[in-house]
Amino acid sequence: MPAAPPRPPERMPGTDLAPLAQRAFVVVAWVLVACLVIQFFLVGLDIFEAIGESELHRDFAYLYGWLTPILVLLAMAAGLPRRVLLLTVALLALYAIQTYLPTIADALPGLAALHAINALLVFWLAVQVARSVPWIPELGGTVDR
Amino acid sequence: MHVSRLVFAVLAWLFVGLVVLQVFYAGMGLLGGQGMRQHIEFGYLVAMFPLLVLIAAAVSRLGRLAWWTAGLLVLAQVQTILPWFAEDAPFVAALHPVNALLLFWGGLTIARRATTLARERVEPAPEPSQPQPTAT
Repeated sequence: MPAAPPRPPERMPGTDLAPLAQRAFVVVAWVLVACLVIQFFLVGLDIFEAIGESELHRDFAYLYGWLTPILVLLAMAAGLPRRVLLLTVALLALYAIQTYLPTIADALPGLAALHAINALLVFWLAVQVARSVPWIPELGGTVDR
Repeated sequence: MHVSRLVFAVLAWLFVGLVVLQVFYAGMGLLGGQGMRQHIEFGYLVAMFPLLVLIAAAVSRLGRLAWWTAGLLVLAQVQTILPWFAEDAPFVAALHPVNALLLFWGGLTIARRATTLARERVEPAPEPSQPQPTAT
């Protein structure tokens, strides 16, 4: 008897707008990845003072930071699998930590220095989130890579 | 398990670890108030490390993965050069953190692929078939 094909991950209950929400999720997730790459460039601009003393890096972070809670809402609306939802919540948490770390630079400089490593983590997780959901909702499930 | 592939995988993961440590030193320099000296000095070690990984890839005859490792070595050299442009072309120097991201991502991709290859079973070479006795 041939083995049964693996079942796709169970989806959470979604709304009627689930297919639209899933597509929006994919778009927002990749926009976030692009913003993070730009953010790394802005760090360079600030460090090497390419445009004088500026805080482009910090200001830009607050500009696109709201994409992370939106991803959580879209994941719920699309009824994406629990694993994707958890990854998205983890991304939101890491991003919140990322914005908090520089504020403790005076009190706990060693801990604040983790800001740079956490940036790598945020980027890695953002790519995992973006790659975990297919563009076409009819295919269902997640793409395990 | 191929020993040479295992060595390649270990070196590839070690490189990823060095990149993460180097990024931490950057954080210590920028937010930890320790200056950038440690980051700069450690950077030259990190930049040369992909050469070891490349040698391991060549010994393991990994083909395309060896080329990727060569690319990583090039990126690592570029990384040490970029800050030199800080005064004359700061927009070029600003690519230093983006290139660090590429090194991290590239190193991670190579290390994960190397791990998969190291885990593959080595198939024993097929024994030469016995000549069939001919009927007389």
